Amino acid sequence: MNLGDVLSIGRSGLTAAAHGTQVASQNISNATTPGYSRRVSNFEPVPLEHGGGVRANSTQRVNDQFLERRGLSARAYAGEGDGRVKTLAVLDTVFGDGQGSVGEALDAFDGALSDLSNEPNSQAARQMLLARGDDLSQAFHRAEDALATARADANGRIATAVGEVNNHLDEIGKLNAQIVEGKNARHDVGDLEDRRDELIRNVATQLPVQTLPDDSGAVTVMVAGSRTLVGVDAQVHHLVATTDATSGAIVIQRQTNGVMEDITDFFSTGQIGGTIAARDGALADAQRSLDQLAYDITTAYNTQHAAGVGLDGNTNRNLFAAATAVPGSAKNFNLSSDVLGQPQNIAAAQQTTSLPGDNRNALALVTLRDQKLGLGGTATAQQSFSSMVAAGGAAARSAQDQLDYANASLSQVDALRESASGVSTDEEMMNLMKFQRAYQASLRVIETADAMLSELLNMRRG
Amino acid sequence: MRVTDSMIWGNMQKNVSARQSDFASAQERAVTGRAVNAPSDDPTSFAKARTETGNLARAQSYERTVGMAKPILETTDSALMTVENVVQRIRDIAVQGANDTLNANDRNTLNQELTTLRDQLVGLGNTTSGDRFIFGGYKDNVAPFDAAGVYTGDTAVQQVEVARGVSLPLGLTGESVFGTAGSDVFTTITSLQTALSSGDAASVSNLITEVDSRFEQVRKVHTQVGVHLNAADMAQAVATRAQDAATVSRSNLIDIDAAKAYTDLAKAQTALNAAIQIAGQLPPPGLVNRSR
Repeated sequence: MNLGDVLSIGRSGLTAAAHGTQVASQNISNATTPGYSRRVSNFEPVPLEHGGGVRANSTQRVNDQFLERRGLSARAYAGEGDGRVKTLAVLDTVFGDGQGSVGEALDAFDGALSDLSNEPNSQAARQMLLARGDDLSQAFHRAEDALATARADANGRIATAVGEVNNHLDEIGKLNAQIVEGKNARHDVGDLEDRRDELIRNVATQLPVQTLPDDSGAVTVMVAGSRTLVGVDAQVHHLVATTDATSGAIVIQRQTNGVMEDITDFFSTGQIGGTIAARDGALADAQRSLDQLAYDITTAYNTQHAAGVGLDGNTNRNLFAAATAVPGSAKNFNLSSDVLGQPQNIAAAQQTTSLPGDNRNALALVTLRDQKLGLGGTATAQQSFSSMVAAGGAAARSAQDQLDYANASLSQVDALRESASGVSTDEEMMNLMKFQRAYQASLRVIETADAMLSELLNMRRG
Repeated sequence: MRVTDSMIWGNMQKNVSARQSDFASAQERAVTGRAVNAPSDDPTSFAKARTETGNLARAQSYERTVGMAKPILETTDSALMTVENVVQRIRDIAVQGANDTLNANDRNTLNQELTTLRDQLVGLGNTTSGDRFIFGGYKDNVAPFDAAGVYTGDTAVQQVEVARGVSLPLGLTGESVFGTAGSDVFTTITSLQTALSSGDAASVSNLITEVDSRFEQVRKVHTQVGVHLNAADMAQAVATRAQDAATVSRSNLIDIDAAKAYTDLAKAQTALNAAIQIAGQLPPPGLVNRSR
């Protein structure tokens, strides 16, 4: 035991206090950095028989793997809700009740038919019916176009998201390699781990992701727990978004050793999963029922119209352009060329001999509004549309509810994670003061040792 | 629980933006006066409201139909009133003509009056409402009677729907009012004139029952028109009530009570103000200030 040791103990205290101050400052300056996990210093005492003092033994990230994993699934659910809400927002517009909606246009068309039955010989009433028929076409076209655009947007969002995910996967692969290398060289890899965790969280927003930490420091990233996207060997399997030839929809494939595998079905959650579910679910349903309604109206009104005679005595004319198949019926819903611009050709009469006051066919057309021509013969045209409104609204509603719920649980998990890993400036200020005091104390130790050494020297001289 | 800076700021941001979104939706409800603005706000109510909008449109179209039908029925009613008077006068003439004591001059006067009455009936048979010949049946665009009283109109008449499943005829066919060819009022007049010119008082007397049956025919259809007018009035009342009912139940489904809308808006505004004010105050500077 000698006083020289005391000096070096004091010096190690100074170093440790300086290190503590460094860590606290780093934490304070990163208090608002997204994904930053606070660091704590590991101090350990050096046994006195080895000279004594303190050793600042690297820093450690405060990180809870369990919370981290819960955060990933919460992010995937929130992403799914977001994907659904974005894809289905169009339903509120299409099934909203305003000027130009299919429902209002149907009302106006029925009204114009009823007016025609009142005055079958009136050019004005006939013109008005054509105008209302055209409005109805426009309403169908607008609705169809809005739904088709929403579908294209959904596909576009999926493709963009896949591109982003691939970039993230590449970077995660690189970080995996760097972390393994850094760990082997006993470097501090906390910043790299923070960065990797943040990237994995970003990927989790897009798809259901699982992680498997390896002792080497690398992390395996998998989709739905079965398909590896980033392996421990730092191999990255890219996702490929391709357009399916038959459905025209974007599907997602995974590339492994040049072999493509369709893994669309694995995307149960995440923004990509939610977008796919909404696109193939409520959005596709809305498109189908709109087409079906347009088809049913076209068929029923054409059949009745063809049975009547126009003012010129000719029969067997279509009111709407004939529909050959259900798909595309809304897009192709138009007045027929038989009547377009030729109001006299509208078949309001039943018999040529009773022209022009014969309104029997017009009346028969009017009664079609009460005929169960839609939903496989169970609902009138208006009822079909109402049930589309209810179904579309309910889908948009449940997407919003799901998003709200997922966001709430994500906030909760984030709060727990933040509570463990986040930086509290007050706490760090206290650390600063603590290390300042420790620094002062260590200086005093050196002063004391110095004084004692001086005393010793003076004694000899004296 | 350990509270960190990000938690404090994050919560604040979340709360302020939640209050902002509450305020925006309260504002939308107050401005539009509607609690349900989009299908997703309340799918069931919104779909029901769509049905009510359809009901409203239909009631309006029924009202338009009744509005168009009533003047036609009223014109028909007043034309038939005049026809009744004319046929009544023909009967008077027949009764007078059946008297043996009339001289040729008197009979001639009666004959001339019959000619005038017949012309009057032809005119009545060609009555129009707007540009519609009300006794022409489906052929309502041309005069159904020629000068001699020969009917060229249609044998069926236009029906219009004035309420769900309730149809009313617009006008009548000439035949149903004046009789079918051969047994019509014009033939009766010709027979009367022939009998009068030949001084055949007995034949004239026999024709009185024929005139009576023509009169009965007119009175019968006139009564029907009265019934139809009543039905039109009723249909109008039904259509008006249906419009009110549809408007009220639509409003109950999607509209918001104005008082509630403004209260909600005021509440949302207060909450937003509070959140913003608190955001401006927190967090206290804490140890950061102290350590200087």
